[in-house]
Amino acid sequence: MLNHSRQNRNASYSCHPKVRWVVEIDGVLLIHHELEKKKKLGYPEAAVWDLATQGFAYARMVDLITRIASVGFREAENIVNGCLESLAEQGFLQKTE
Amino acid sequence: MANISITTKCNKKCRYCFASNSDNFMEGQTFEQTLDFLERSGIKEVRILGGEPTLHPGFSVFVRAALNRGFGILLFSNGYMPESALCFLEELPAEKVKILVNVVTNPESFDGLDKRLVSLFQRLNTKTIPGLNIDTPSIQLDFLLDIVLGFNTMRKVRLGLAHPKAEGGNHFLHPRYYPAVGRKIAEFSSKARPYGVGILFDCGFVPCMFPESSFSSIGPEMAELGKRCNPILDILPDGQVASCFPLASLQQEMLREDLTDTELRNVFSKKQETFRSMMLYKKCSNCTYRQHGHCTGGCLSASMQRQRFSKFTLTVPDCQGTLLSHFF
Amino acid sequence: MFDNVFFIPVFDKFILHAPLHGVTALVNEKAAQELAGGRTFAKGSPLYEINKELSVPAAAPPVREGPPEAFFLGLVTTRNCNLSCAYCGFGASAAPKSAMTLDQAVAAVDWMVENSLQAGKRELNIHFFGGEPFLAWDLVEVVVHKARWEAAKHGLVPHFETSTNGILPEKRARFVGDYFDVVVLSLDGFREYHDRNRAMTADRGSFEWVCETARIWSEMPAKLCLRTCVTADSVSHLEDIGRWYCEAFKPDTVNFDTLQTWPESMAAGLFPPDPYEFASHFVKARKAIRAYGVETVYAADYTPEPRHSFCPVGKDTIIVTPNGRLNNCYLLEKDWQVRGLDLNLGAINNNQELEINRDAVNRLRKHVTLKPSCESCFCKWSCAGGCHVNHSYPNAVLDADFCIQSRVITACSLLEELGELEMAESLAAGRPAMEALSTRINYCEQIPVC
Ligand code: SF4
Ligand code: SF4
Repeated sequence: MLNHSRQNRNASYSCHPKVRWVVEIDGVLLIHHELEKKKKLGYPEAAVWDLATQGFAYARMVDLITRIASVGFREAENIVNGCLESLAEQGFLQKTE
Repeated sequence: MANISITTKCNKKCRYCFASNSDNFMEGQTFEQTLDFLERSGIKEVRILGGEPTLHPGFSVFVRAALNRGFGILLFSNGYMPESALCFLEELPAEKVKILVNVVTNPESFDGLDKRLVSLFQRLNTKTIPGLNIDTPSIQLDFLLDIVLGFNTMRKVRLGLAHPKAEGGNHFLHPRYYPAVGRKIAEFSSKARPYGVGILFDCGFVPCMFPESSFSSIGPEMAELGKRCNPILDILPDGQVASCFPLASLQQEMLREDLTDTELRNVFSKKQETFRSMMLYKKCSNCTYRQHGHCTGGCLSASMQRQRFSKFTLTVPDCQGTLLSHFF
Repeated sequence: MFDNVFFIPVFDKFILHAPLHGVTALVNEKAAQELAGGRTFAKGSPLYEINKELSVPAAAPPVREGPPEAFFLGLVTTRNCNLSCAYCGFGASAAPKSAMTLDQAVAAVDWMVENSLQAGKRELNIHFFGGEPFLAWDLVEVVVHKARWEAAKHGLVPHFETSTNGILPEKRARFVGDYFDVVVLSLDGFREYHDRNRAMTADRGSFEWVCETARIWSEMPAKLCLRTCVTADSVSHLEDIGRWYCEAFKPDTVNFDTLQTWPESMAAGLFPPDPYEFASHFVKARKAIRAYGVETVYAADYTPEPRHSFCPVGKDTIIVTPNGRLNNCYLLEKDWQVRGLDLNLGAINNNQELEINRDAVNRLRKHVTLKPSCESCFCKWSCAGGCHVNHSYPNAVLDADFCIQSRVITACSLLEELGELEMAESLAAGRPAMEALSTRINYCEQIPVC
């Protein structure tokens, strides 16, 4: 798995103002009103998204992901970082470094 | 099919209404353009609505113009029309004009029907179809059957669900109440069928709101009900076209001379593609009605109410590796 | 004589109620006597068909057997609470602030997934209790997402329910409205009752906040049940309270239950309503609320399916307490211990495994079928003896008030189902008729012999 730990350091990710989401039975559906595109997040990414919207700090989020995904913290960190990076690439999150 | 809203003016204040009650009147020239549009689209019926369309000063002129061009008329009214409009409609041939009367105050029974409505049904009888927009699960429907039988209207009743505007703000029937409404409609349907009275369902009804045991009493329409959320084309008084009133804030198009209804509908459908994966309920994604093609997931505008937004910023700290190993 | 056939006197008639046969009918006294007396009827006579159906022996709902199949997984995330309700018997405001550990919660979810799959269920059913369950917010997040993920992997449909006091920040309330399926929100009617019963602090009620939460949930997907604890002084306002609920919020159901007397409630000067008054106002309120298309629930009321237990007990339900005990009931252990009951099914061990005592499961499956005091009551398959800790514990003298209100409400429900709306209303309107109906000892026995 790609290690995202380094590339994300000291970066901030915020929700694009034109992004909305809908809770689905098995994940979360993101809708980008400006780019007119959608993205379905399954798990564990859907959990990352929700924890971010609930305002969890990074460290706590990673901790909770270890429980949700039953993985160690390195892997949890990778899940979180990979998800943030990919959503930023697709325009759902805005990244500032 | 396309609906022409010739005015947003109204004499009632229905809490579920999409239109702002204001003095917007369609110009004669715009009305002619919409007739051109219908003609080139091969549509034979002009569906006139409002606000309360009979309050448009040119109402009778518009209707005559449409009749002269060979269109049939379907008028949507709340029934509280000026005497002049009532006399005018009385004179028109029944085979050319149908009037869908939305009873906006849900009377407990037939006896509670307002005198003006009684008079309207008496005078326009066979040209009318009584209807109700449902915005609460507390509705009573039996009075509609009484109207049909008591005034000899057409043997149909029209039912609509009050849908939310995409941007919110109006009163609507929350989808949690659909099953309660579905049970009442099913009961009503089994009472009405023996009299040969059928139900015309407006858009946004879904199969899962009805008890399965009632499917046969509702009739063959059942198979199509859940697929009725499509661009209807609501033409607004200023000549702009919306996919439907609830979705008007999402997108409006000008009524261009080179477009037919199919082309215009495609424009809306394309834009809505992104949103269509939102459906009425969480459960829609593994619903068998949907999997078997009997439902597309309900009213898009109602589904869009499930959208959430939250401003958040998540900072990935510089020292994450050490920080985390320190923590755990 | 038939088995499990009951005759409920209503004015000069009887409701013949045979829940195991699925037969309910309104009959006059003569017909009741003839049916109960085992007469044979001529083919074609109206009683012939009823008699025929009643003559076929009907089976009670089966007693569970085999490996445990949890009705649902309950998580008492914490006993801690952010309200100081005057009547709280959980000692919640003084309870330890500790919550269940995340490891225990995860272990419980994993167990429930496995159990649901083994039982061939479609749903993964998880309920949250407290104290106030949402005070352990991180745990709620972990359980919801873990369970949703596991459900998605295994083709199960996740189903979350909660009982809550509604005192939580808006952002969390919105999470609950989106991710949960059923939310039971405690609201004790108008401000004067609610704030007195459910205070945040000595000088601050919780009414405003709870109403705001109710408004948020009114617009969201989760089903909203407004649960009201009815007291002696709020009972006469049930109709108005019900109407107000339906006008101000968008509930799916309204639940009225009577105050359970605890030392705390008595100390606060709160008393349960007179049972006849409660039944009477409940039936009227139900009618008023029904006009809004909303259902009203009383926990011990008639259900279409016969049942052995009206609560999680006896249904293999696993309720995890904050200290990792696995119980069949969400009350405090001391509450059932003083009743001579053992509702424990096991514990989560140090390896985070759920150890379930099969003997205890089987004992409780059997326990709920043994209610000698209910034997000849027509509510025995619906109320099913009510709460095992508070009503039908071993050697209990049945709580007369509970039986009275349950019987009257059940009889009215049966009449309503038979389309006898006016009779149900008249029954609930007059004390003599309610007394005549509810104070019988034996509803199987025949009625006055001519
Ligand atoms: S797709 Fe959704 S709205 Fe349609 S029938 Fe299924 S659950 Fe109901
Ligand atoms: S979104 Fe669909 S169902 Fe809703 S009002 Fe518009 S056309 Fe009708």
